[in-house]
Amino acid sequence: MNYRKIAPELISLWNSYNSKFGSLEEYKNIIDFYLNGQYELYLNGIIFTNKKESRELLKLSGISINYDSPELKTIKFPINLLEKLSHYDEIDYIFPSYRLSSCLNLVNEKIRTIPFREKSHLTGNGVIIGIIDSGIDTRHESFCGRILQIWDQTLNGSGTREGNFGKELKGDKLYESIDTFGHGTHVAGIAAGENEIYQGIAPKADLVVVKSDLSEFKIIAGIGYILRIAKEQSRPVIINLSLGGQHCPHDGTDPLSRFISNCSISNQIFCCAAGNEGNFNFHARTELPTGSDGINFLINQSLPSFSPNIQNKPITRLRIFGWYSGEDEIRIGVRSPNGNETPYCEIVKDPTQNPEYLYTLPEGCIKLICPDSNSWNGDRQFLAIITSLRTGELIEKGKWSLLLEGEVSKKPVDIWIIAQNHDEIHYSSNIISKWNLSNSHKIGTPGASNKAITVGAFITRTCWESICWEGRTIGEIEDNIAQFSNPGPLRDSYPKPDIIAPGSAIIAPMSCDSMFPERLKIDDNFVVLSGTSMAAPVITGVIALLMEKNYKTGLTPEEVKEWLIDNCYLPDHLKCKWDIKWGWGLIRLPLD
Amino acid sequence: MNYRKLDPELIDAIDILKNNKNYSIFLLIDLETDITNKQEKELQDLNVNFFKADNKIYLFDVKIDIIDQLTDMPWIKHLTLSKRLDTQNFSLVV
Repeated sequence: MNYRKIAPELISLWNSYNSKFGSLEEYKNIIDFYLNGQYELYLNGIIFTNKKESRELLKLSGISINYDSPELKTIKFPINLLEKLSHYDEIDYIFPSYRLSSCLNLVNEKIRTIPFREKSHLTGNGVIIGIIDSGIDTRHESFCGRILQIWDQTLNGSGTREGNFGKELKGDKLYESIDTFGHGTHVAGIAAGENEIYQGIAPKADLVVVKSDLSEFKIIAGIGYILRIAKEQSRPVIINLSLGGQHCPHDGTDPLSRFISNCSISNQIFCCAAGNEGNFNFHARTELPTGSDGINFLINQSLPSFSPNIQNKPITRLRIFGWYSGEDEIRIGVRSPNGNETPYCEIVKDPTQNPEYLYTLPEGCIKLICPDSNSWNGDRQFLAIITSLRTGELIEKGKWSLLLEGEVSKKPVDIWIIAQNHDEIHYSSNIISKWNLSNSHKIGTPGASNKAITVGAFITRTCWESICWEGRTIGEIEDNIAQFSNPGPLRDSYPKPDIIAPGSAIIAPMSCDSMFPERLKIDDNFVVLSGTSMAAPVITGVIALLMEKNYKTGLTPEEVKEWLIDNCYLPDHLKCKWDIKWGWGLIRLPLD
Repeated sequence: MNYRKLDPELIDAIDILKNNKNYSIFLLIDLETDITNKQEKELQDLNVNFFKADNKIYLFDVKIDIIDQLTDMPWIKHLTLSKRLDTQNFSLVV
């Protein structure tokens, strides 16, 4: 044997194989080998070669070549040929093929999934994971045989008991539903994908998928559908919602968040993304009086942005949502960049009178809606809408102001500004008043549901090599909270988010019907995505493992939250128990 | 119309669609209690397509011009416009 041409770990495997007392067990998770019968060991290897004749040489030796390039080949060979291969001049070096699951998939490495599962023998078996999203690639190898049912709400059909729209699919009809966006497939893969290299957290859990247009109406119907299927099969269910919106009171009392809280009972758990607006200045918290300046916000109208973290998209419509205590009364107005103002508008207390005021300024149309306190959380709200004089055109750029007038407020006033470029929602209005100094209170619906587990994102990876062998990176700091991850708490100070999980550059299944750019593709089957969308299914998978463990007794949302809090950690420098971005901390699965 | 029962975005939507009375809209409805048979009949007479989410939240698919009558029903507490949410993947690659 020419040992100089053989990698040390392969030498070690060779020695163990040939020793009477050697064990191959320790190499099982490290080197890609298998036993043919009782004694014949085959392994996958990588060899460096220096001559083109090496190809013929290998073939004559009965060795199959998988990947073939002039300097490098991947081969499958019986270990008994190792000595012979080491003597060939045409072969420079022989490596074993290493198992990479614990290295390439940094999610599993960071939160300790593999050792946790090995110790606990949990896989998610028996648990249903519900995914309400853009659909799923039913043909992807990562989900083989584990997609129970799909309600594709976008197909023509008679729907289900929960809604007479879309089509319910099972068995060989599953393939009628496709995921052209790719988001749902990726999310499902993180939670429950089964693959040697990019393995999901709960690789044996079953999936019930709702493909939705993500309207609240259809999401609620989809939730009802998944819960019914799980109940019919008497199985625990965890529903993943990697979606969100900011058009709500941010206190968990909006209809979707409340519905989720109502449905959160034993063996029915929800996991929601915290949202990705952490970098954008679209929220302000103030108290009265604000002074004559009001709350200022800047409309840039797509100036080039040199910072990848700043959105500067065109704005054709602006909505300003305000929420404050029912004990206070606020009159609102709007001032344009040229100093033109609407009058201050009173709260309309007569329920039969339309609370909408319409004004036309030289710079645009202003709609101010000032209803009295609502019946479901007792607070007051207002909505200011700014559009151009001509429908669909850009709003006048410059410094606009929301004017607030009233008695000294007993409690704070929160505003959130949502911009639109036609149908596309973004957060490019930059609040520039002193009132937005604290980056907080950005967790919208459904992350604001008190009983759901709301998940922020942690950065485990910032770079990867795409399918074109090009290095790619995202503008975040490794081993830190994601800047884009939304901070809490809720408007009523309820602590949210609950927990954080890896959510940057996550490699997971790619839908074959999607059109991701090359820079995001790892290969033909896997793609890289980032966001709290990716962090939520990590926790969904963890909860599925817990539900399997507590299959007989059941698990309440409170017990799940308590377990997660006990198994996460905050960095020392925070010196607190709960943080507005980190929540209770980064998940870390126990090994004892 | 009892505007107190409408969320501001629904008020805005009604204003925008006022010339399209046949336009259908999806609503999230808060109720005092679960719907009775009599109340179901009322909704069916108005051609409201409704689905139960839970005992106090229902989903209505209605024509715009019916909303006025819905606000007059004492057992309907609040009507919220169904809005579209976004997926939470973050696009930031260089």
